[in-house]
Amino acid sequence: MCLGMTLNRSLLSVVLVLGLSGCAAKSLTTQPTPTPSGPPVASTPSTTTANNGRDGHSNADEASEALEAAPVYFSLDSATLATEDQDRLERLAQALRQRPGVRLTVSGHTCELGTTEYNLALGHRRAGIVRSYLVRLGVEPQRIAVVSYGEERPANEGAVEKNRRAEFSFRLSEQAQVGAR
Amino acid sequence: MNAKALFLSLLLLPVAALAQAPVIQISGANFRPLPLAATAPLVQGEEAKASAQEVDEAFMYDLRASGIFQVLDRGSFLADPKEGMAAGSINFSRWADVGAESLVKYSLAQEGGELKAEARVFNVGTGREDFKTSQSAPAAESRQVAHKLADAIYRHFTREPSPFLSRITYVRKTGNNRDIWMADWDGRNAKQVTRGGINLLPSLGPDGAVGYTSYQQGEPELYIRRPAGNTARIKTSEGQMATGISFSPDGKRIAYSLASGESTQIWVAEADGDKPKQLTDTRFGINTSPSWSPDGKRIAFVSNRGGSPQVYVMNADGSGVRRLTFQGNYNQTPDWSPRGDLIAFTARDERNAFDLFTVHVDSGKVTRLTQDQANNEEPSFSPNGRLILFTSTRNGGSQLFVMTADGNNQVALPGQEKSTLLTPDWGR
Repeated sequence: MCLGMTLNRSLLSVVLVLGLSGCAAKSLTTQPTPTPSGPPVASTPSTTTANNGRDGHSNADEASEALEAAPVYFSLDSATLATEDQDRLERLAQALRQRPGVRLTVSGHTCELGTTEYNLALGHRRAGIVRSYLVRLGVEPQRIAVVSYGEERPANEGAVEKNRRAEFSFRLSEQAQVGAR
Repeated sequence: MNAKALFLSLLLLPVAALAQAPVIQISGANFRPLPLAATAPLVQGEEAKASAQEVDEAFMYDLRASGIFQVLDRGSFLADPKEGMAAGSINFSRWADVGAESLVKYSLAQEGGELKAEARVFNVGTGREDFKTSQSAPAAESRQVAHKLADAIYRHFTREPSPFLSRITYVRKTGNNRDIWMADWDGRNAKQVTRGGINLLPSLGPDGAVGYTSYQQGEPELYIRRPAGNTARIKTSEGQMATGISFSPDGKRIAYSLASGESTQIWVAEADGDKPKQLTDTRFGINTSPSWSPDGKRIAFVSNRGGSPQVYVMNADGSGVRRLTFQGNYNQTPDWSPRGDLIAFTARDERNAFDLFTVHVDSGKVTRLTQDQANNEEPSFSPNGRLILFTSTRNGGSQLFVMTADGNNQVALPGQEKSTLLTPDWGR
């Protein structure tokens, strides 16, 4: 899952330019995502250009924003998507459709107000529903992996509502990685 | 046997037959814990002295946690502490004065590497010795002597095996790690099974194998650690999340949950994962937490098919599904009693407090076991069905407790003050 281990430097730059984090979803959601213009992005004009050329996408800013997917939050015991999250997922699906080299993992989480075993299933259901929604919006199912952590990886020990969530982590497909080298 | 001895034994026969009836009828409507005094061990020799404290801690814990005795405080005893173990040397009126109906005395001695113990049980009312037992274990496993002594005494009173020689498994949480541990029934002699990462939902098989869910390959999968020490991964379908293994009572089959798409279903397979078969089929729902009936013919489980998670039972082939719980909107973690009649479960109420209940499988009668003692979760019956192991946060962090199957005599396992222990399972 942690792409950072194996990334070469130029590929890392591409990932950062895209606003993607190959590593833990936590870093993606708790740290401000680097933008192409702001430091400390270790990008070079050449990799940015190469990336734009490969994806045929001229507006890196827009892609970065769309893929900077904050977690989707749920209410207690529920796996129903809120209306505003549906809108957000539509933007994400659009960005993903435009970047076929990007793959993602949706990880489902719960708060601690439940039992270990049911929470694993509930976390899976939350992630599964997010995945289904993206698939209905035209993202190929094989690009989206799902994993549940139940209540084992809380985002914030003190705030239960922050823990009922589905998080996104993005990575480049094997093909895209080869292309970037 | 000579003629006189034969005559005597015939005379004694009705008495012997009577003695087969349990002294303490645990299931009876008139059950009450028997007031019992147990003296500190009479220790013979320096070697045995070294083990005496450990043995006594284990022995007294067994008697107290058993739920069948009201163990009297040694500080209240009036008898001479040097009083011997022969009935003739015991001043029974002193024991009657402190309310004891039974008196247990025991001695400890070490011979070579072997720790030996002898216990005698006296009826305080009649002043007679009712029962005597001798047990031994390697000195390095001194607590085993205590558990064997207590087991013999429990059998004397109930005509049933005790839970004192059984094993438990649980998850220990340290930082981000969740590790599987196994221990004696009192939580002592604990052995770590996994080393770091996320390992969850352990379950003991009848042969001493422990099954669990582990993220060691990134995604949750099922593993079984055999008593010999080898670990096998159970192959389940690619791209599906398998969790919560549960062994059938004969150990030949496993039940588990498999999540895929938007639903989680219960499956059964042979113990090595072969011949998997899907039992539940609710397209969008969650079905999880399977627990086998003692005859292996039925499975209790949790399903949210009715809108909220509730306890259901079905036949082991998936037919004959029946809902068992109707109160509240969050009933979880069913555990089927080895006696067959009850299913214990965790309920969450409208204040988000967790408490334990049993539901009678045939009548549906629900009995509350815990109340107003912080959160109480994850019940697991003892092999004889008389006790329930569970977690409670009443002392702060999540710790292991035992209580009787009707919720009495709630006792913390010793020596877990700084631990966070979760999802215990009691080996059958």
